[in-house]
Amino acid sequence: MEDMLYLMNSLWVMVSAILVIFMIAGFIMLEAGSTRMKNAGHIAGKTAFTFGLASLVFWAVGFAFIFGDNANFFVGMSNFFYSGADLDLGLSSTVFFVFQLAFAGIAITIALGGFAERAKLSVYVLFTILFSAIVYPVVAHWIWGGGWLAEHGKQDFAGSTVVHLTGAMAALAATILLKPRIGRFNKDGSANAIHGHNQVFTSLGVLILWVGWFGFNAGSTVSVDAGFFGFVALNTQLAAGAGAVAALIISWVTLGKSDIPTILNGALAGLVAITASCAFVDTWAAVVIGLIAGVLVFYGAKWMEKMGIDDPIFALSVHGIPGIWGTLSTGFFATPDLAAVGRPGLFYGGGFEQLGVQAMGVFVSGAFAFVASFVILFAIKKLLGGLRVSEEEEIMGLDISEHGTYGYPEVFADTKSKAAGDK
Amino acid sequence: MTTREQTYANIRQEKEAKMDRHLHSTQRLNAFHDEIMKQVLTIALQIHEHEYGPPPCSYSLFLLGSAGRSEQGTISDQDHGIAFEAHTDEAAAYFLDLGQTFSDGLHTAGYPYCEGKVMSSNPVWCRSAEDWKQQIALWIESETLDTMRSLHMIYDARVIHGDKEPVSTLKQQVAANMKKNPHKLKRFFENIQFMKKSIGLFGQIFTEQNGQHAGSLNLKQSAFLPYVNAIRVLAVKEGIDASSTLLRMKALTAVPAHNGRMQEYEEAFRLLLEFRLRVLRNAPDYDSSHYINIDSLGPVRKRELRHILKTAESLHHYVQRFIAKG
Repeated sequence: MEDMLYLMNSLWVMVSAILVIFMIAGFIMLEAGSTRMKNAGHIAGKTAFTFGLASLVFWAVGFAFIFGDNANFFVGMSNFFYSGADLDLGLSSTVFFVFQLAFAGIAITIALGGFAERAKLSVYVLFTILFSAIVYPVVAHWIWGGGWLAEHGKQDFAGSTVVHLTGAMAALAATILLKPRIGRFNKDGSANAIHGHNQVFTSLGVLILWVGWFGFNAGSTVSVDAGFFGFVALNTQLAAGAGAVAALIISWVTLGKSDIPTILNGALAGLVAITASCAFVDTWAAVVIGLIAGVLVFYGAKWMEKMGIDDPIFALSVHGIPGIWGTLSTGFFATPDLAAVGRPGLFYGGGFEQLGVQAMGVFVSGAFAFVASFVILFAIKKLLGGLRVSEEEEIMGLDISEHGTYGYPEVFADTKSKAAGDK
Repeated sequence: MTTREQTYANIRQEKEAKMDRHLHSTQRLNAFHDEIMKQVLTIALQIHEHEYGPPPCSYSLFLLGSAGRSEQGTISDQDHGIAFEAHTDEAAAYFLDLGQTFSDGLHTAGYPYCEGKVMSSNPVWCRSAEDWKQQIALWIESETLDTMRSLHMIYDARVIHGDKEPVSTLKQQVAANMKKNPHKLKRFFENIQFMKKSIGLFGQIFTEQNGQHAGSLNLKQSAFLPYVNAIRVLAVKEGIDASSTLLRMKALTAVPAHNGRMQEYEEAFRLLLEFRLRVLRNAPDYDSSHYINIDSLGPVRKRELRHILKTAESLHHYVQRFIAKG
């Protein structure tokens, strides 16, 4: 019977790992669709590549830093270059490794969203290595690897903070250092919309992410025990739906027209927010958490624009702000029955204690991710003599400037022959 | 610099210098615009006659668009056309050239060219009376959105030089056809049926989201066009010859079917005219002269604007229902 549970756990988590890895496909569609044609091949290709690169880094050091023994304040220190050794986890340790690797891959993919349409390819390569080795493992260790926030009872079931906020803070550091894309803002500070080239791609990307999220959240039970993953999946779905509904309503009411990118972002924001709380809250609370996330994502994007921050694929407004909200939400809504980690929330007689832990966790993790990413990028900037392609390259597009071919060759055939100096 | 350009530039200078004195009412401002345009025309005529001799026949030069309706703001582009009596190639060439001279003059004097080429330098808007008659018949017959739009344009025509009668005849032709055939009037309305929603259920004003006018409302699109278009449809239906929206409203008040509603609409439209003069008087160029930044308005102005936008919507629906009834 024990063997049976071990095998079932392993199988369920492997399925979940595959779902999470499939989220990379969602990001490819989402990011390519939300940006311009001249960068489409670059964005799609680099996303697949950086996931591969991050996997190697995770195998070499990431896994060891997060879950290793002999931990210092920042990271653990065993199982470097993970051999597949059994770690006595109640499921296959290699399956657990692959599952965790997938999460690290999602975090770097979110972070790189802030680089879109203007960073050099070499910056992607270097930052992927350093983020996956230094930034992500520290936060993950603190919260999931038995670090100091775990000891405080910080609730982050599947990674609103660990994955989404960490990724978003790196994206913020990047977008600040890279500065806005050409044409994004006018001299007087007013913003221009740079529309994505394919809303169908974007929508499909969102739906792939949505499906993958069942691996992300429900898989984070890392066990089939009592079928609890079903409840987590239920909360996940409710929050996603509520996020989309709230975003449609708020954009309709404020703009006079419902805005497709906002609706899609609303669904994602609901998912990001429920990621921390999906195992700790009642279904009605999942709906409330999703609704609030859907409103936050709309105003978050407006606020970024007002601050003069170019957030090309909404990494900050989708993963950052809802990531913070989702983490705080358990401090309000966690129920005594469900709070397997930490304490119940404010609305369940838990007082401000859990909310305080959540707030501290969000603040410290976010600040660390931002500062560490900023320092890394600053160093890369000095090393490479700049993070950004030249103005001319940015205008011709990164497909041709970084890779020499177009994602949509027929569309750019004329430009290409001109660029090559043909008659 | 030729003397011709100097003269136009002088007119422009005079226009800019004296503009301030004519800003207390739209009526006054438009009388001033008329005066300036007539000065431009006088010079254009002198130049043209000097080169090509006197006109081969009588003709009417008319203004279209906001100038035709006497509803220009401080800055306005040019829209105009010519109808001439003689149906000959010589006359056509003569007046088309005159149209070009006039149009260039207006441009130099500070009335930018019309992007849609609604100018008498364009053969579409510079024709013999006979040609015009056939063209309008054709526009009505083909009833596409484009040709209906041209009918909307021509119905705002106002003669500033020459006999008024030929232009009135064209308008009567339009109105008579629509009266005879309610389906055409429906098409005429459908041309302006789309109205950009600019005020929400809770009184929130929908502004531009992007670009240099972010946070601003396009007053022409959101406020002026709904009034102007809806009233023009009623004017055609009732065969009213007047070009200005206010005069049309006055005439419509005399029609029993509209008597009950028109006062409310007229008051709101007057408020809109006054509102624009107060708020947009310092616009730097034609494009900016339509945009009004909502955040810069005080609470009273904001309330006025809401009232204007809501009434515009109500008028639009009123006309829609009226046309649907046939």
